[in-house]
Amino acid sequence: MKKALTGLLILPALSLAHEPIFGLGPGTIFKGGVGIEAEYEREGRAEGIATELLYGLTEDVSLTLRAFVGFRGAKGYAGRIKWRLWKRYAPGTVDAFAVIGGAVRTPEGKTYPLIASAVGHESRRWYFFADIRSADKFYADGAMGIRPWLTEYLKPDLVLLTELNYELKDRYSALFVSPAFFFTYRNIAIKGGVQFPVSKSEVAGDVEERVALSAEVHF
Amino acid sequence: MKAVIFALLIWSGTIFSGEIIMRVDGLACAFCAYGLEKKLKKLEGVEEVKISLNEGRVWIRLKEGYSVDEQKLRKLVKESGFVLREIIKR
Repeated sequence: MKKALTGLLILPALSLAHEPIFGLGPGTIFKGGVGIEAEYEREGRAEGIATELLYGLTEDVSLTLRAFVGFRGAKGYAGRIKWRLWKRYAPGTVDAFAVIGGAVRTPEGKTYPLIASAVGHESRRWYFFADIRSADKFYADGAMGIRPWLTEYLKPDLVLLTELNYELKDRYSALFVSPAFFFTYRNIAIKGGVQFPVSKSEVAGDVEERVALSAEVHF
Repeated sequence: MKAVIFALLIWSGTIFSGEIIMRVDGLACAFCAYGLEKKLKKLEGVEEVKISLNEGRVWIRLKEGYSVDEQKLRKLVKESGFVLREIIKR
């Protein structure tokens, strides 16, 4: 039961701007900004709550602390720093590249270094993201999102995402297709998604759907 | 003399008062624009801030007697994660 939650604990969870739910993006919070999030996570029959605290050291460097508590007692922690190394601006558009480093302590009591990089294109209409991560497994993700209605600031805003998430470790591998949404109103966000395994190796036979649903506020 | 200096600064484009309209690049979503609104509202004398995501513009109204210099605006916009491309009205 505890093992099943390991994958979820690695999730970035606290998205910056409209980032993937299950992958990573290059976004960072504004300088001095604080974000908090509570997220419900489920994988098969294992479920729990993760909370995250985010702080913007500068507009390009963010710190994140994450704690996970399973409904059956499993606990895990993660900390990471994201550094946006490159960015390019245009009207209504940001392209960026970031590197991420940190550590993850899984519910099994194992600690792994987290090394990742992410690239993204965010515009008023479209979102594209790609990342690779190395922690307890190797992860590779791609995501595409669309804002169906170009609502203005101080209006409810919806972005729909589809992600492809790949995981690899020794003989284990799994590919997920993950529909997700990101709904915001000013500094409040509700986001969620489901990872459906569409392809998996024989040793990944017990991989099940993963669900994430969270509320997030930036201050 | 103060009035002359103030007028010269206004003319040189470094100090703004009244209504300011900025063209800001990178305004892709409301969630990320919140940081910009928050920082601009902390400026002394700011009465109102409006953000248009679709136009990529930010409108600020300062109280009478208050002013802000361009460098300060550029710094705040940068710290919010955006780029102040141009001040198009003051």
